[in-house]
Amino acid sequence: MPALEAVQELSPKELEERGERLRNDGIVIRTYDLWKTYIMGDQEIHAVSGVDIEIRRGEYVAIMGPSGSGKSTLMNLIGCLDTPTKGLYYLNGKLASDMEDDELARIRNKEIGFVFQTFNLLARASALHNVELPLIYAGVPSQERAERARTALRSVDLEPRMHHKPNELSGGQRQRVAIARALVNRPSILLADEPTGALDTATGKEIMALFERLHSDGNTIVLVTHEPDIALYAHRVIHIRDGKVELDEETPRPERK
Amino acid sequence: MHSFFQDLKYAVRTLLKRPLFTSVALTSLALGIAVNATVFSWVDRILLRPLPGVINAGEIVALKTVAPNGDLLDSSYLDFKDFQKQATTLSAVIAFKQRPLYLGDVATGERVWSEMVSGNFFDVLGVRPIRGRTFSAEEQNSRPGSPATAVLSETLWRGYFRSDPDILGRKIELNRHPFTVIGIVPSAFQGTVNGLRFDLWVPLTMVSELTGSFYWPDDRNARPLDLMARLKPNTSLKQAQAEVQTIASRLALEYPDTNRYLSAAVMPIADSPAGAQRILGRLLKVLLVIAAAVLLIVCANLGNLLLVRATMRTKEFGIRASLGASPRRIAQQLFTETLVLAVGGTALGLLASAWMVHAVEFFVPPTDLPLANLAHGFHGLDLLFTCALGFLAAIFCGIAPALQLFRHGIQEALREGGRFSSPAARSRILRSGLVVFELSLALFALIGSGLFIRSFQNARNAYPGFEPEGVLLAGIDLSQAHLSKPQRVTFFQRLRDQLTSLPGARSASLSEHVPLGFDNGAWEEIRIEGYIPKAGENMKLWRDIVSPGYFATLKIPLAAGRDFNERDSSASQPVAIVNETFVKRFLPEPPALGRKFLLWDREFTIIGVARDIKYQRLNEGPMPYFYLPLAQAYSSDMGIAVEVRTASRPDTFAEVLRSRIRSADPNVLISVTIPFASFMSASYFAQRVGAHLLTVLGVISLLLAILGLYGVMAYSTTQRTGEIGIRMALGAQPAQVLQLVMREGMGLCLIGIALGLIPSLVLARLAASALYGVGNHDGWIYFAGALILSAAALLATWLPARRAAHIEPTKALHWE
Ligand SMILES: Nc1ncnc2c1ncn2[C@@H]1O[C@H](COP(=O)(O)OP(=O)(O)O)[C@@H](O)[C@H]1O
Ligand SMILES: [Mg+2]
Repeated sequence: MPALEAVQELSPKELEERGERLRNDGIVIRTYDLWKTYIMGDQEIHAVSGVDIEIRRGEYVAIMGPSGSGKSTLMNLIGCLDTPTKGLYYLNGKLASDMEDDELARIRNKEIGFVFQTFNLLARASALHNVELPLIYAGVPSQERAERARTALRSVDLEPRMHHKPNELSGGQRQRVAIARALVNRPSILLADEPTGALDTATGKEIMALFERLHSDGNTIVLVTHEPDIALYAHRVIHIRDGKVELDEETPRPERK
Repeated sequence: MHSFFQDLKYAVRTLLKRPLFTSVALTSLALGIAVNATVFSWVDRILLRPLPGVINAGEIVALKTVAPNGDLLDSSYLDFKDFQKQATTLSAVIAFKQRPLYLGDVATGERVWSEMVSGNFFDVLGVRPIRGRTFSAEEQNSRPGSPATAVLSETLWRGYFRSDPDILGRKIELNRHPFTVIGIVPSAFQGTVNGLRFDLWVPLTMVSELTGSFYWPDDRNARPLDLMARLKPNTSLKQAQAEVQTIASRLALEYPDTNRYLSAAVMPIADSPAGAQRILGRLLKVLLVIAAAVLLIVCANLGNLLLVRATMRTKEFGIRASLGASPRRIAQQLFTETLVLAVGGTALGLLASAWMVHAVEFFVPPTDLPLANLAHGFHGLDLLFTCALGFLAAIFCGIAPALQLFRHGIQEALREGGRFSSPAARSRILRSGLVVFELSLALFALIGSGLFIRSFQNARNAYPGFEPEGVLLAGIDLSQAHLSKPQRVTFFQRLRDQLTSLPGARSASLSEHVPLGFDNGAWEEIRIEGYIPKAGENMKLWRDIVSPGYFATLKIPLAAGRDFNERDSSASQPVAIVNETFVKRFLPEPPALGRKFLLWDREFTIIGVARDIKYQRLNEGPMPYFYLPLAQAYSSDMGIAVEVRTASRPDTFAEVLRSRIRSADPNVLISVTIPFASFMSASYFAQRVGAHLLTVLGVISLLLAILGLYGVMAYSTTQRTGEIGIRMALGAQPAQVLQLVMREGMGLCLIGIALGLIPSLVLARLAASALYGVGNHDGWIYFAGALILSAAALLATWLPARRAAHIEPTKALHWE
């Protein structure tokens, strides 16, 4: 990995060429010395401090670490929900760390599918409408929108319940709606932050099985968790501690469930 | 009771803990109540108590002579006597005439507005003297010229006479005639014209001594008197009306020369043609309605604030509920808080209104009339009204949160943790409903002010048929000058010549009346040669008596013939100038010039035709009118106005004019000097007051409603932070979030506009008679009102919307 100075001194043209190269190499996510620093009073908290990671298309990666280690912050940076204090972040060859709000919104819409611990569904909207939301912001015409949302719900086996409101669905069903919503715009990566955190063990397993299937369908998945046995579902685990990458390892195949 | 005091203590403590909320609530409530208390005190003074200081004023009615065309006229002294004698439905009739008198020396004397009254005046009105006695009917039955006695107002006594303890029996001079003071009446009594204040009363029988005119009480054809009557108890207005009509027709038969075709009418003071109620009545009603709208907006705002607070305090209520408080008990607690706010707001509002009542004085046009103080102190009824309002406001404001508590029960309110649960949605609908209500009321108030602004503009820009700009007016009084009638006429001529030759004066003239003041002028009954009136046709025509140069000075165009000149004198043939409507109505066959009419047993020949102007009111229809030359028609009891058209601004000329009149004869008194344009503003006084006050109320309503909208939108976006975060995570652009919030806010605004238009149309109906030249073509006022409201609403929703658009999605998603 290149040294910090070398990257920072690149000209715009060189930055662009680097992105080009990353994309040609099939690298979806690449961060260079990524920092996120919060100022709390007179104290600086480095939630993410100098992270360099690389994730290729089709990978299934877990980011694991104890609570407060900076997983969610990193996830927010990768998901373009937040911008780094310092460092570079390439998503699909584009330099996301440099982008304005509007562009970030477009990236979130097109390139990223989010799955949250607490589902984050719109309570007053039906499952179908929840799944349609990203398509609305993508400007997809309503006919096609409904069609694609139904297809996405079908792929998580929820088509029969598409007119139900979230409070009429079980936790597992809600998470499946959230996953359908994350997939509906065919994003480059699926980002899941503690997707099983609010579910019982059995339902959690179901959801992990669904992720497994999605991965084998060719999706790139980044999973954030603090539970080692959930992390083991992934093919590669990045261990985070105090905002730094502590260890980046392939999961031993035989141990995978 | 114990629990009430407990609640009270707790309520005060809770309110003190939230100083911002409490002060916002108190100020807006005080504002709403002050506005209402103020308007109501005007309504009370002008419409409900038109005759302050009079006992059982509700029984007092105006008694008018009615011309064949329905015009309400003043009456003759002899008719007054007959009504007094014959009417059985009336316990008594009084007669009076207003006039300024000069008290004391010419040099140091004071011009005092006085009433010459019949002997029973004070007894019938039930006004008791605070010192001495008032007049008696018997002493006036004696002969003309006695008794020379006077009754003073308490105000005059305390002011001019410095509370002289030996005032009773003291000799004073009125218009150079000795009078003896016999009594003082309380200052609460201000005379018989609503809105004016009189300070001195003298017997009607002294009229010749005071004015130098002939003794007209002997002449049934002289009708200068105002009459009022007191209805007998248990007598209806209808019965009295029927009776005075009967008496009038009897008089018409008995005295055909003077009373043929005349009828009579009684009416409540509120409907009588003289007084402030005529000018301001309709406007006051409109103001009252709009003020109510302001208060409702305040209440809706406060209701919303309380609703939000109640929602935020569910935890506190939960604790209280777990300690055994019933929902009813908690609602009671909430209501006590509202009540404390209402009491505070009412007290503050009363204080503010004591100051606000003076607003109306600010608009009073310059006039020499003795305008009464309409900003009187608070009357019991006003206090009652205000307190009732405060209490109603408390109920109205408290109802939303209490309703919510009762509807959902405290338990449910407790469980309402999730931000999308349905009780929250319902309270959101309630909040939105209140804001829509506010917005519609604000539109209503805005349109109200729009209508009156338009009306004021119309009135101010209306062309009255002459050019008031550049003319200076002065009122002069010759009662103190030792001049015979012919000498006075010569004095007028000399004065006019001198004024005309002044540098800076373009032209000058004199006249008895000037158009478009507070009073209507005078009329005469004439017979036109060659014109046969239809049965009952009104031949009593309004007229003025003017010097040569009057038409030139006011720039009233002459359509035909010539102006009066110095050769039209008492020695020459009587001449007249008539207006175009006169010609159209009575002399359709040309030529009009050279035709004659009969008046005062003299034959006047028409030598000129003047264009029509507005004589009494800007919105009057065309009316026949004529002018007679001052030299031929002057009589000694006329007041005289001087008009000068100046080269520069007229007000800069006032001092020159005064000194020139004084040097012409130091005994001629000058009552006022005033630019015609200001004088004329009396004719659109109500428009002016209306436009200004309603604009103030409109702006207050707009601000309050917009504040309300802002509050609701700000709260609603806070409540929706999570939802907005989700949308942003899914790719909503900041602009799309902005749109989402704006759509909600502007949606409320549009509903408000739709709902507000309906009452606005009703308002326009209600106000129609108080408006000048506002009609169907003024639909843009509604549009403009809606536009202003929308623009303000746009700002009010844009601020929270912008904040929402800049929410950081990470923070929003953590919002749990
Ligand atoms: N918005 C914030 N402001 C200040 N400090 C924050 C903020 N978000 C996270 N942190 C801090 O950054 C560190 C990492 O937090 P986070 O990324 O949520 O960890 P994890 O998801 O691994 O539990 C923690 O110490 C947390 O307190
Ligand atoms: Mg976390």
